[in-house]
Amino acid sequence: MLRYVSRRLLFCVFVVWALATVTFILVHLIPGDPVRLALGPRVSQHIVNTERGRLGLDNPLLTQYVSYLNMLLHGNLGTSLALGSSVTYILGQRVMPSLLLISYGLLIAVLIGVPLAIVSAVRPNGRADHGTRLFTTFVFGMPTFWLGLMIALLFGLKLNWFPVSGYVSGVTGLFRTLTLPALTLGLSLVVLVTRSLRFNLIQVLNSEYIEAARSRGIAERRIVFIHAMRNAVMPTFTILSAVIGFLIGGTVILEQVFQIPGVGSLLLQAVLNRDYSLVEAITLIAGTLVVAASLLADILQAVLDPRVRLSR
Amino acid sequence: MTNRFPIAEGELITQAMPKGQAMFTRLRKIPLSVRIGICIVGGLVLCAIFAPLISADPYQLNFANTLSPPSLAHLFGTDENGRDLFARIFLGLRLDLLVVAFVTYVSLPLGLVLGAAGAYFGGKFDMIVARMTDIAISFPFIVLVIAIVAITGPGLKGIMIGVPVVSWALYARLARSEMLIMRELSFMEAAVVLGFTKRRIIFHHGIPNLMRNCFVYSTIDVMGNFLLLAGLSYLGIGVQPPAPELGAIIAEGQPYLLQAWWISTLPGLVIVLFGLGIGLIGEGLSDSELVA
Amino acid sequence: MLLTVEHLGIEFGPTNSPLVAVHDVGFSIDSGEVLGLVGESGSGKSLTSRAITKLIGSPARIAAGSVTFEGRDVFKMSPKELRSFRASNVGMIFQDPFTSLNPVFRVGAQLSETLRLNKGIDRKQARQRAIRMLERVGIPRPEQHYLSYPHELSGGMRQRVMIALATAGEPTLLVADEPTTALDVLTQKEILLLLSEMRRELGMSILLVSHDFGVIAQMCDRVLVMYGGRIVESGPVDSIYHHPRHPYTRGLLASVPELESANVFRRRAALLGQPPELGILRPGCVFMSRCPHAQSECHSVSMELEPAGAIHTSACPFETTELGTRVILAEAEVE
Repeated sequence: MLRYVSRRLLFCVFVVWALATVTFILVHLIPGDPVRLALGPRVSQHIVNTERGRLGLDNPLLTQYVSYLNMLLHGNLGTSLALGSSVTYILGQRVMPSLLLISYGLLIAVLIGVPLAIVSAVRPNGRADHGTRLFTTFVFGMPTFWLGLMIALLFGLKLNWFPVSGYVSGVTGLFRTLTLPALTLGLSLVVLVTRSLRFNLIQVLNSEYIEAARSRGIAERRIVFIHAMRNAVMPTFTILSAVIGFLIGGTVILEQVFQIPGVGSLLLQAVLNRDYSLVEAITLIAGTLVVAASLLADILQAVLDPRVRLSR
Repeated sequence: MTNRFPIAEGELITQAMPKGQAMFTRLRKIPLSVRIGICIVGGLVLCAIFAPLISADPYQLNFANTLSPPSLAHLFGTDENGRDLFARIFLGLRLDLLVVAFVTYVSLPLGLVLGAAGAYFGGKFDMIVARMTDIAISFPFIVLVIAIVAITGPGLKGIMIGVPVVSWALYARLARSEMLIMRELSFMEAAVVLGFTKRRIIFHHGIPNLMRNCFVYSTIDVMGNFLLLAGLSYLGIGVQPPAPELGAIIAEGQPYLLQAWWISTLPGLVIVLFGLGIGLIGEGLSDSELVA
Repeated sequence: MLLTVEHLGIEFGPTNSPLVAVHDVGFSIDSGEVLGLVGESGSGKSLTSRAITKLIGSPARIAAGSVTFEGRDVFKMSPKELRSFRASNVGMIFQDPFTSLNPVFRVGAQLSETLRLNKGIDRKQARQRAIRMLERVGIPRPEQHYLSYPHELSGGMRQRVMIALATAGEPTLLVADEPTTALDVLTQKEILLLLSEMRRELGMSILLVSHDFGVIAQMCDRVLVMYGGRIVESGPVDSIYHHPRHPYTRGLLASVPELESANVFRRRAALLGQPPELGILRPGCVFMSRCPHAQSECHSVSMELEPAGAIHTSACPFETTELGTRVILAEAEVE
């Protein structure tokens, strides 16, 4: 088991390193002078040159690469040229809203998606199943931002239940400002969750050991929730990294729609401001999160599935 | 091994390896849902091709008639500049479809060939391909594309470069896992025995069978890329004005959401409709061919 | 009579033109008796065995017939009654012990669960009883293996666990669907031995389903031969083994490889062809297409077991001998 985990960990580290390298290359492919672009045309060349010297931008590429990696290893994500402070500080300020939004969205997705999947799987091709399938096919085609706007229109503007923009901390504030975007995020995510879980659950419910359990007179509810779910949930975890990727992407968009000051809207701002160190850092973090999620999924699978646990 | 081929060798190959036939046998019994899906998608595509010809000029500004609701003159209403929304939407759809088709169907063959080749040859080459695939799949898609756009500047260039950079991996993974299984099937061994070159085996015999799976997946990918394009345009870093694009139009309508809901709502409905059609096609295809 | 099955019909597909898997199957099992159900795969024997506890799930459905157990109509039971019936009156063991045990739960836990369900005892008691049951079915070091997962056990041990699970409720009837098919010959013998012991200990009847006539011959008092969803022959095991009347049974017996010097003249009719696929109900004898003695009258055979009330019955009304001569059978018992 330990060997398995360490092997996966090594791979993840490798991927993160590859990510860092790719982002480094991307940033250095930029035509023109990043410092000039970030500081604007009005600033004097002298200041630009000083900045360049300070940032070591005139050193050979390899040296820059090495110092970049070195920085990363020490947890230093660089300085934002446009905003003038360290990236870590800036991110720190904006990370909370995004995290909360992601968690809230994930919660909604699970609360809606899991029961839907169960109801569909227990009676395949029944009414609930068809209804769920129709629902997911529709939502599948909805762009996240559009869904967000429609939800904002209905629940925010027309019904006035929630505000349609802004972010307020504190429990009630969060509930009021984050519910609509989280609902949007959750609904979009439901498609992924429900499809995967339903498929796995149907397969499990058709297996011999479930039939055997029924033949011993075990109640259907117990069979579905304990015997079947335990087996069906495991393969569903493999989509965890896809889920995280989706959540990150969704947050980027929804923070724009609902004007939430999180990392997503920060990324957008950075792109428009040509703030490369910020873009680089956020890309790297997002990538790391996805990789971490896939590692987590693998570990969870090993923990939950005794067959994997013992064979590794 | 010789007693496995009792009949004339050429005969066996055509029988055992119906290249392409695998995909087209089923065309005869297309299920209803797929037919509906094709109708929807086909209808939209036709509109996209022809609508700008028969409706008003999408670029025509008309400040006397801004933000007017759907009417006979303007089927979908007008936007804040008085432009006919119907024309804009379908012109935008045309653009979207072209970009998405390009991006998806460039990634597909790229990934398909790499994945199939990797699986077939095995060894170091396969390991490299597999690792690269894993990495590419792990990348958070939209963030990477945004990063690339940060470099190339807003506009289609970034998307057309960025998406295939990652997209191919999904097809590669699919093709690779299928090829790993297919490699062991008897008709492939037969081809080797008959002395076909490896290249012919992969391209002529293997790939047509892999195509089926990849095509089914491409329906999902088309939709995903479509949504990505719309999303980026919505954010302002995709298609640039005044070129119409569904996501961009939605963004334009956002400030007028309460008074002129049609500007933001209708393009989205078109997208949803398209998604419904694509989803029906994909599901119908996968239900009839594969286990699920 | 412990169990009576009458006119059982199981089908698939659209209700207006159904695909018939089992048709007009009827038999009974007395207390303490072992009834064998033999046939090829696709003969409907597994479905029949499952119908006893109404374990038929979609896409199959029970189309006709009744199952009466100790006077109670199984098909009319409420879900609660059915569960209790399955838990304490009938036990079932399945063909593949690997896929019949939940892979993510420990073996002991699965056993305890069944015990607690049946007896309403607490965890500790259940655990102890489970360990004793594991011991009873011949699993070494039962306290240790209580904590094992199914994939850690060998095929034979898994099947023993299955037997423990099925007999936990001390049922009066055990339905065994191909219990030894997935096992090697030596383990097969051990399992059959175990089944016999448990049968004596608990006073159970057994319905033993198998395609292996050797297993049937070893264990059963009476045998039913199924083909294409129907019963084609029925009788005491000796009678069927030595004097098979239906051409299918003869073919089946002929295909059993014998190590002893075979009585070559007695067994010559080997079976050619494939069993019928699932299809709509057709008139005439279901074995016709493969029968070496088929004739035009076979089209109007009613597939009923004749003669009624006899001990050894067959669905083939024609008397066929090895030499191929035909005699239309009058009412006579063959012995």
